[in-house]
Parts: sequence; C-alpha cells; structure tokens
Amino acid sequence: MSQNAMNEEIRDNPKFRELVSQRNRWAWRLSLLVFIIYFGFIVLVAFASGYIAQPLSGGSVIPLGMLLGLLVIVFSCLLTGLYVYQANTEFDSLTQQVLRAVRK
Amino acid sequence: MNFCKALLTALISGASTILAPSAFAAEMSSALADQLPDRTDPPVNWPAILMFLMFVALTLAITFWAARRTKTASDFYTAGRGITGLQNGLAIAGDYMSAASFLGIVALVYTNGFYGLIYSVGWLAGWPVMLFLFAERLRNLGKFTYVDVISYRLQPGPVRAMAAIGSLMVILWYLIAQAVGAGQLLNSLLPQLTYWQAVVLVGGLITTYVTFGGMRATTWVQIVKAVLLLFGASAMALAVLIHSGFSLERLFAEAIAIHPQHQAIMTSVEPFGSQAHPLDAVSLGITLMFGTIGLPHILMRFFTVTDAKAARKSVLYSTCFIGYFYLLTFIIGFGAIAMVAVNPAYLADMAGGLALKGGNNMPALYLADALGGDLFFGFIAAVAFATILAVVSGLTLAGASAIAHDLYVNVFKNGQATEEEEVKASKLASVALGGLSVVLALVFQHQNVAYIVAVTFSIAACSNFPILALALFWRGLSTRGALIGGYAGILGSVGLLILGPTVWTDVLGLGPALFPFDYPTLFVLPLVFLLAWLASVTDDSAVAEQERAAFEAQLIRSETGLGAER
Repeated sequence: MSQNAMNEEIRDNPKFRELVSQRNRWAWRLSLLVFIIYFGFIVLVAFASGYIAQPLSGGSVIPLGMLLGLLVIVFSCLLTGLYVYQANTEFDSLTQQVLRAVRK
Repeated sequence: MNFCKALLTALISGASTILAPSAFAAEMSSALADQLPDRTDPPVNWPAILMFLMFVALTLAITFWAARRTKTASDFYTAGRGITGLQNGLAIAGDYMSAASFLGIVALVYTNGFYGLIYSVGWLAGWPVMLFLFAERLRNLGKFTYVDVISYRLQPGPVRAMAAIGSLMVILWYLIAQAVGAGQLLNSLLPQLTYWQAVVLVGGLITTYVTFGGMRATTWVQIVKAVLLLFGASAMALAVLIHSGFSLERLFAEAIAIHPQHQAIMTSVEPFGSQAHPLDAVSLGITLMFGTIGLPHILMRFFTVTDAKAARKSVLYSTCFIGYFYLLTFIIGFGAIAMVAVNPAYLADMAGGLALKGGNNMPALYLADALGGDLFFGFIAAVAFATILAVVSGLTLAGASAIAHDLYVNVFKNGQATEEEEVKASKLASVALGGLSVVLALVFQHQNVAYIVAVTFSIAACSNFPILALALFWRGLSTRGALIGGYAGILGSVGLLILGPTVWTDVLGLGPALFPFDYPTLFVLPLVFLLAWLASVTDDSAVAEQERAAFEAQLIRSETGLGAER
C-alpha cells in the first residue's frame, strides 16, 4: 500500500480518531493542570508575597510558600507518572490497532 | 611552567593509582608533592585531582569504545536510535542538570534563600508539558534535530535557516555559561592552572568526546555524570540532615540565625538588594518553563531512543531525577548557610558577610569541604567538573548538528550531500565549536553564570518554543508565519535583553535601562504568537495552501509513528 493510501485509510479509521481525541484530551487537560499549579505558585510569589510568607503553624519557621514550591515539584512528577501509565495501557493499544489495520 | 608541572604530577599520580595499590599511590603523590614545592601556591588537593583524572580516563575509554561504533550519520547524531527509556532518562537528566543548576542554585539559595526555590520549581515545571505535548511527537516526526520537525511540512530552506540560527544562539550562550563555570571551577580546584589553561583543557576534552564518539559517547558521559551527581548531591544532603538531626526546622532556624538577612531568607521573592517588579517573577516563571521546551540539545535526545514509548518513559525518569535533585539542592543551599558562612576559612571578608573566596559559585564546594574534608571536597569538585563536561558535550553535539545537518546539508546543499560528507561536516563543526567555546569563555570570564543561563532560556522560550508548538499543533501555520514569528522571537529577546537592566546598566554601564525588565519573555512570547498567526492567516499563496494540506499527513505520523525513523 502506498503512503498516501495508508494515510487515507488511517484518517478514515474511527479507532484513529478515538486515539487522537483521547490522547489530546488527556494531554491538554494535564497540561492545563500543570499551568494552573505552576503559574498559581508564580502569581502568589509575585503578587501575594505577604500571604505565602505566613508560617505553616504557630511555632514553625517554615513559611507556606516553601511548602507550596516543594508540592509543585512533587505534583509534576506524579502527573508525568499518571500520563505514562495512561499512555502505556490505553493509547499504545489503540495505536497498535490502527497500525495493524493498515499493515494487514 | 606551573601548568606543565601540575599536569605532569597529576598524570604521574593518576597512572600510579591505576598501576599500584592505593596506599602506594598516596605515598607516591605526597612524595611528588614534596619534590615539587611551591611556596606561594595553596596546597594541591590530591583526592580531587585523582577523582578528576579517573573520570577523564573513564570518559576517554567510553569515547574510544563509542568511536569504533560510530560510522553513519545516525550513529553520530542519535547513537543509532538504540538508547532505552531509562538510559535516555538519565542522559536527559545529565544533560539538563548543568553546573549552573548545581553550583548556581546552591549559590542562589546561599545568598537569597527562598528565591532560589523559584528557579528550582521553574526549571522542573516545563518537563510534564514536554511529556504531554512534545516528546512522543518529536520522536515520531524528527530525524536528527528538532528543526527537522519544524520544517516537516514547511519550506525547508528558509525555515531551517531561521530555526538553526535560533538553536545556535541558545547553544552559544549556554556554552559560555558552562565554559566559564568550568574555568572557574578547575581554577579553584587546581590553583596551579590558570583560568585560560583550565578552559583550554575543558575545550580539548569535550571536542575529543564529541568528534570521535558522537552521540554514543556523549550519552554515556551524561549517564555516568548523572549517576555521580545524584549520588554526590544525595550524600551532601544526607550529611546536612545528619548535622541538623533530620529536622528541617532546626536547619532553617540555624540558617536564619547566621544569614545577615535573618528571617527574610525564608520569604524572599526577589534577590536581596534588588527592586524587582512583580511582573519580573511572572516573566521569569514563563521563561524557565517554556525555555526548557526550546533547548535544542535536550530536544535532540528524543531522537536517540527506539520509539515514542521509550521517549515517553525517558521523560518520566528524567522528571523524577531532576525533581529529586532540585529538592536536594535546596537542602544543600541552606546547609551551606549554616555551615559555610560561619567558617572564616571560606569567607572573603574577615569582617563578616557572605562573600566567599573564589567567587560566588563556591558554596556547594565549601560545604562539601566542611562536611567531609579534602576527600569529599575533591569528590564533589570532580562531580561538578564532570557535570560541565557532560553538558558541554551535549551542547557541542547539538551545535554541530545545527551547523552540519540543518545549515550545511539541508540549506546550502539542498539536501544533496552524502552521509560521509555530513558526518565529516559535523566533526569539523564540533572542532570549531570546541574552539569557539574556549574563546567565548575567555571573553566572558567574569560574567555571572546563572544570569547567562537565564539569557539562554529567554531566547529558547521566545523563538524555538513557539514555532515548534505552532508547527506541531496549528494546521494554519505557513512558512511566512514561521519565519516572521521566529525572527521576531530571536531579535525581540536578544534586543530587549541588551536594553534590560543587567546588560545595559551593569555590563555596558550606559545608565538607566531602556527596558525595565530582566526577562523579556512575558512580552516577546505573546508577540511572537501574534505575528506568526497574523502572517500565516494573511498568507493565501499556493504554497501556504499545500503546507496546510500537508498537516494531515504530519498529524498521522506524529500520532501513530507510521513512517518514523528507525
């Protein structure tokens, strides 16, 4: 099969459209979540430095901002793990189905 | 001839460790040190030199091994696409965790406290987005460089020229930062070497790795370095925690008591003494996140793995390694306040203050000395040095690919070059870049390393990132849009950096800055998107129509990997 014919067949395969829409839904939603978490932290740093300077608890020297910064790092790792899990289990099998259909 | 003497003694003692039991080697080295007395110079740090030489010997052995397996252009640029996800994850971490982020963030925390954490967070935040939207698509579409991806459906000649210029701007600035850091480090490690001798030594080593070993050698140098750096930083953070009885509260309380700014170090959102505008922090945040996605030497690493799945896994590993490392640098930075700033032996000014002997990048090294004496200092110095060599190798290779693959083969020769010619061109380019980085390191010797890295990220975030994102996700992008947007990003970011406070006022001394912000990304990035959009939608040429029509084939390949390079 020529490259063009394969492309046309893939384009018309509902599994391909499912793959694209599923993966994009996940990718953009997770990206949005990262943007909100990260730029939320940055905006607090820039415009609410007094708020994030308050200590975690009465006797503590650790301010809220420090905990938030560390949480951004931890969440970034967790979200990457979540995406990779989803891609390994769902997207890869859809991709294989799409490719098998044109390689038969 | 201090240089020859230092090198000679170093080489002899290095050879003696390989040939003889270590006790004998130590005796030999101290005997040699006695034979070559140097009245004015500070004492030679033998553990540091030995560990450094062991690293150099190991990496040269890797290069020798890799050189015999490097024949085709794909071997040279992508290590034959046989790197696994875990290996690439470590190599990415090794490529990304530069000396600027190790020595630099520790130094930032040491002088400015909490402010350093903003950099750590920003340097990590780009990675999840790199995974969700870029890594797999890059692997599926590209051959050797991310410029392949941008020019996939656009006019290859002009688009490659623009993107290659963007790449080279980023790479050259990053090279300056690393080479300056290496020179300062080696200079303080081996005071018998002058700065320029140190820089020449660094330039010679990385040129050897890249020219002979290509991506295979570079990858393994980066993996070895990543493991050493993670191990070294973990040991340091552990020692700091032992010192403070595993209580962060106690560590912070101690640092607050010692630092001249006291309680303010826990909450400082800008460097002490600066009058930063709140928007500066926002612009910095955008620069660090999107700059990560525009670094050519990092993007290049996605072409070394077997398939999109391995590309995806490599980002998971690298994100976790890098995140873990940044958490450690934060502990190490506060440890440096608690243990380095109290010791007059390290301080430049006896009257107090934080300034250190040997410059502002030294807190991490002195902390190692305070924690574990000569031996640990030597280990951490050798690790920091290995870090620089690994990062500079990655940069040099990426620069060589931009010159040879993008500019020479695909722009000047219209893609009509044999594989042999391409490999030869990239080896020549590596040698030229190695030489250039030496010259640049000499010219920019006294620049602040962390700031130069920020310049790099600004250019990457303003030109490479937006055009790559549009090429991947927006059907409407035409060649005209990519060119106008890309050049606006390069000129806008470089121009506003020059007009900004650091260059205009501090470096050039021309009075108040014409542009009040240090990081132009907040203004330039939206402008680039706007111009690229405007120039594309008004482009109704037949070529632009074809480019839009070709988006579908690009989408299918980027999503399924059908037709991707093997």
